[in-house]
Amino acid sequence: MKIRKIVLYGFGQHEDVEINVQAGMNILYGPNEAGKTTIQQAILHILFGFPQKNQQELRYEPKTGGKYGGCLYIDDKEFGPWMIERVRGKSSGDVTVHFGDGRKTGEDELKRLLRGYDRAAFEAIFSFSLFQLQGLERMDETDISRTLLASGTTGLDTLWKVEKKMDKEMAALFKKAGRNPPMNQKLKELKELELAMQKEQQKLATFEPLSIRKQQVDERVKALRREEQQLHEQAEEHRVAMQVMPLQQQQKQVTEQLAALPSESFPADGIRRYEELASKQSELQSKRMRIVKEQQLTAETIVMRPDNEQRQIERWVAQEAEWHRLRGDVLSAEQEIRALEKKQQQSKQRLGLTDAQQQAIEEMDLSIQRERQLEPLLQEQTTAEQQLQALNRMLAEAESERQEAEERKILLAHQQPTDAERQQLAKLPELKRQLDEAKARVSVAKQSTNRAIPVFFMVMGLLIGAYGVWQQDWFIVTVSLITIVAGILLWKKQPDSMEDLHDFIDKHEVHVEEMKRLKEQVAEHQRQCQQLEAEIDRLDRKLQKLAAEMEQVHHQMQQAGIALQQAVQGDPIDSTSNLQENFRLLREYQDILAEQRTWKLRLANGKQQIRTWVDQVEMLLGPISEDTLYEQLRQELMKQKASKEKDHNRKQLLKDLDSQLNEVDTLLATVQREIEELFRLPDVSDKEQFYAAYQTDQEAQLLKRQLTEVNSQLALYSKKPLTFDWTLPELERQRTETTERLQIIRKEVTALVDEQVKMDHKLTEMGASQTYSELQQLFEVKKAELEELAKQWVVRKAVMESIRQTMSGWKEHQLPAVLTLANTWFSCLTGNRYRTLTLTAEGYFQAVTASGQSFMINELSQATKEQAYLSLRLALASELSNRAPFPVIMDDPFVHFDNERLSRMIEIIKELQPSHQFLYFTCHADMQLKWSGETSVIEIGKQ
Amino acid sequence: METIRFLHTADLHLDSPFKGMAAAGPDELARLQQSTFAAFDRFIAYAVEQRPDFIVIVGDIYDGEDRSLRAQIRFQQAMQRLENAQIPVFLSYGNHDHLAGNWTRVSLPENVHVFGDEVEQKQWTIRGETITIYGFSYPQRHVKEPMIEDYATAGPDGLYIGLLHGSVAGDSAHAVYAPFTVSELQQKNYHYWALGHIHKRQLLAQEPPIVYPGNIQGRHRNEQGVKGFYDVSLSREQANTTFIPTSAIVFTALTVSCRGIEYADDWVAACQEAIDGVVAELGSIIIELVMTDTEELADNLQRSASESEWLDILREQYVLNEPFVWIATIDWPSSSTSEFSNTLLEPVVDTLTSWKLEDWDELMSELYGHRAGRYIERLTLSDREQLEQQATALLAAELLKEG
Repeated sequence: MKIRKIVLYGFGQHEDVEINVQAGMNILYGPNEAGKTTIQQAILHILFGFPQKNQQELRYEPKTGGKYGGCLYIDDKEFGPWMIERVRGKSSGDVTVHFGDGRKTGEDELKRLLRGYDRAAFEAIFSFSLFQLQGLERMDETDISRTLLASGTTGLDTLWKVEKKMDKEMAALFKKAGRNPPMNQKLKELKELELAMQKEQQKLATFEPLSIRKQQVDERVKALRREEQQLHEQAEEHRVAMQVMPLQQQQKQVTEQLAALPSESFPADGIRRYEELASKQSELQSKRMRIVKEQQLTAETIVMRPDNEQRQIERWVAQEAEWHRLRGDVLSAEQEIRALEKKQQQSKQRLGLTDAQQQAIEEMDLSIQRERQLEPLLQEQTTAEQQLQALNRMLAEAESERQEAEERKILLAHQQPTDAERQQLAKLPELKRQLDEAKARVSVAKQSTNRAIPVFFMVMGLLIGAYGVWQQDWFIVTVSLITIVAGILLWKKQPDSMEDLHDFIDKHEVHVEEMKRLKEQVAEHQRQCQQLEAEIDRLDRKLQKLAAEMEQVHHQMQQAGIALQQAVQGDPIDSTSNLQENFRLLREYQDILAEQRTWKLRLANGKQQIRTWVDQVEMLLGPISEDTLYEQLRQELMKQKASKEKDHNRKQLLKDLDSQLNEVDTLLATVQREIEELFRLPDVSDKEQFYAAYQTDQEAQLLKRQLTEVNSQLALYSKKPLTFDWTLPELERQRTETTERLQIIRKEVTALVDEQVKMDHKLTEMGASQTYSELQQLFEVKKAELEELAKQWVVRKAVMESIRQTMSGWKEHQLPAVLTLANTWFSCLTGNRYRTLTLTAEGYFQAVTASGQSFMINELSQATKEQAYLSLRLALASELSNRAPFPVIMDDPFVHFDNERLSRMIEIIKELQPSHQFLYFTCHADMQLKWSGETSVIEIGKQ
Repeated sequence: METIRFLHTADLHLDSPFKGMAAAGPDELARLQQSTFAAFDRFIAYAVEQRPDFIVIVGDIYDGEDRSLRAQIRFQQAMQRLENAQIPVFLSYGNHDHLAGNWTRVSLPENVHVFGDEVEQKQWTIRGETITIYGFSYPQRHVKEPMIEDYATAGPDGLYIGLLHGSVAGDSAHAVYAPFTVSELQQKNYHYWALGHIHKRQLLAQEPPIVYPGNIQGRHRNEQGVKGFYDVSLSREQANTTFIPTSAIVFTALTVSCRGIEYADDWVAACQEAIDGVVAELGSIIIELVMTDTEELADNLQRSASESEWLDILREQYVLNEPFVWIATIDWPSSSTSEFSNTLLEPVVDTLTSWKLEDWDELMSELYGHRAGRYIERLTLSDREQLEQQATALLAAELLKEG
């Protein structure tokens, strides 16, 4: 690739500049400020774009503001001629590439045309100035060697950086013994998951043994259940046997018993029938006996009275009225006698008679003549007595009158006026005079004085005093005295004034009045006393007269009494007190006695007749009471009549009984026949045997019933006959065994079923468990994530490794080739003073002299250093000529070279010219001279 | 001639974990975990509803030593459902669930007929047609020798079906298991070859049908597309196979053009639109996005966030989305080299690209040698390419930053 023409529309100081260059060496000469660097930069700008505005590099925009940009005309072995034009546009400029065939293209194609080189890479090899070489001075050995390599291999530094970064990133992803990097973490997680899965698997691994166990348990349970069933059946059989065996035994026993009993038949209902017959028989027999007895009884004849007696009785009964009349007479006589006796008794009592007097009275003379003799005697005596009584009464009256008068006398003595009253009375005329005087004076002065008050006081005092004396109460007397004194004082104080006079009059007027009255009273009293004395005297005289009269009467009376006594001296009783009455009573008494004698006679007569009657009846009927005589007679009669009737009846009855007896006998015979009939069947002769036969029959019946019962119970258990060989104890033992076995089985079954349930649960759980698959899936996810990370890691590793390999490839293949060429040239340049540039083990460059001495780069002289550097660059350019056949652009790099070395340099460059175009910018004019042959010299700023 | 009908499935890999689901959260994981069961349930539901004459399952019901108990119980329950529906099942175990494993086994109901460790025949009659099935179960993890010789040639009468879990001889992409060639199979004169082992659905031949039904649910990015099983109607004259999809979640990839998009929100919208289109078609998905035409977007993206952040932003749009959407990766085109010096990058990239798989393994040796190596899969060619690309991109980016 070679530049044919440079056209600058506007670039720095250059405007519309056109520079034609040739394929080989071109020297672009210009003094300072001519714009050499501007042209050099313009070439780079056009190829790789204008620098960004913020970049350090200059953009060389025309200060005039004119057209900016330019174009390069290029010949290219590979792509033919093409032209690149870059003008102002976007910041890197708008670029257009024109091909020879007229095809136009832009940036994309340009990259290809520039072989992917960017400006930095281009500059690192193909474009350098003295300045860039001079920079080496300041670099240390590492930098130099790196820069040497880097500048020769385009941005190797970047690769290193990337490699380092990759290494770091890898470490961040994964460390062999690390823990924190994500891959290590993932690994850890995976491991944990694996562990968890193992555990889960182990857990699930129990599934099979568990299912086997479950199957075993299932089978065991089934077997046990079967056995249980069998045992149940057996137990059932035993149970049945337990119930059946006693029944069978009973059956057997009953059968045997039945066989032992005689097989006689017993008439149906025999006993009842027999008993009925027997009772009927006994009934009939007793009936018969009764009849016979009755017959015997009836056969006795009834005793009866003979007809004459009966007729006598009937007669007596007909005379009953007569009998009653007799009885009535006796009764009334007795009553009469009793009444007379009563009367006699009354009279006797009334007369107060003793038995002796009674006797005498019967003969006493009670004539009316005698009665008249006695009457006047009695009259006289009575009159005297009456007079005496009247006198006595009069005497008593006179004495009581005298008593009264004495009492009045004593009373008057008490009413006698007191001494004080007498004194007052004595003073009365004085007082009266004073009062009149006062009145007179008052009347003169038309005034009156009142002396009443003192008078009143005094009177009051007197009165009270009188009362006190009368009552003998000295306190009151004292009070009266005080009053009187007060009255006197008042009196004395009677004022002389008219006023006083009035008072005086008022006071004493009343007093005087009082006094007057008192005087009258005293006089009255004296008069009464005199009257009383006179009365007493008169009464005393009357009393004496009466006493004399009484004496006389009493004497008269005594004389009358003696006369009467003489008259009644011979009488059994004193009949003088009430003579007429006494005589009447005595006469009555004598009458009663006479009547009594008459009635007693009649009574005795009646009684005699009755006795005769009773004796006659008693002869016939035996001893008999008189009162019940007729009752018994009547009874006797009725009895007689009844006996006759009865006798008739008895005869009738006997006839009846005979016929009844016949009947009963017939019945008895029938019953007996029937009984015999009954006895005939069980072949017995008497009742005991019959009953024994019945008992046997009953037993047989009972046994038969039992047998039936047992048979029916047995029939319940089975249709076919059951036979058991066991004995009961054996059976019992077997039952116990079965029960125990059943319990054991049940226990085991329960435990097994529990286990079954648990296992079922566990198995189901395991079967449904997602855990394992979840873990698996999670494991896969983590694995994928790890792989993802591993990929990242590997990618980084690949990048790193590829960079390393490329670098080492360079080191091992390209670099040795470059170095060989560089060595040749370096050796040539230095006139074989230095033979090679080699790399130390550490990767640093060193120069080795022909004698084998090696120097580090910084130990070389400035020019030699530049020469070493140039040798390397040119060797690189030469090496890359196929891939990057770019022109080499140099900005005065040879200034430090001596002539010899410069000419050698020129030789080397000439050697390179066929493959590379050279643009050499210089300010040294003589430099043109150094180049010979086909060298184009262009002066800058000369157009 | 009777036509019989059966379902052909293989490689259920029940309850096996999804691989490569880095950064998935618990919600996503739960969803994924359900998916193999969900797919299997669809299969069973289809069988119960459609009542085929029988079902063949050609190996790899479980995922190997890691088989979960839950998976077995679910399988057992499903078999029970088929038993209840009176559908016989013929199954052989494959390399993943070979007979030598000492894992717990659950007992299967009586409708399930398991082939033993040597090729054996099972014969019975359906509607007067004699059906003969040949097959075998893997006695151990590896069966590298061909088993095809042990299969008897079909007789003149009846229908013959071969069950074979293995791979075509010479297929370097998969490890060799019971290798066979198509012509070997054809020589047996069977009416249908029910194959298993390869998870990608494919028809090796038409006469007779030699069929890999593929697995019923994709489980990583290499098992893309709709998965399912075959509903086969077979008579001596002809065979009809109908594919029945089962996959609950579909692994898929999508290219999104970013032409004309400058800003992030527009980019998110464009991605969503594209994804929603796929969701509408496939339902739940795990998707790998590939970005193209990113020139205009590039500056913006590069400056504002890292690629993983963009992935997070986009994932956030689909958190708890129904149907389920998980964005596995976003592939960005490698940055153009225009920005930086080729001279610097080129030699390094040249070095990088010159590496062979062994060289990469060598790089990995530090990891492989470490205990981490246990968890890291060996690199594949495609991995190498990817890594190469990533490394180049990283290098370029770093150089750009440093330069």
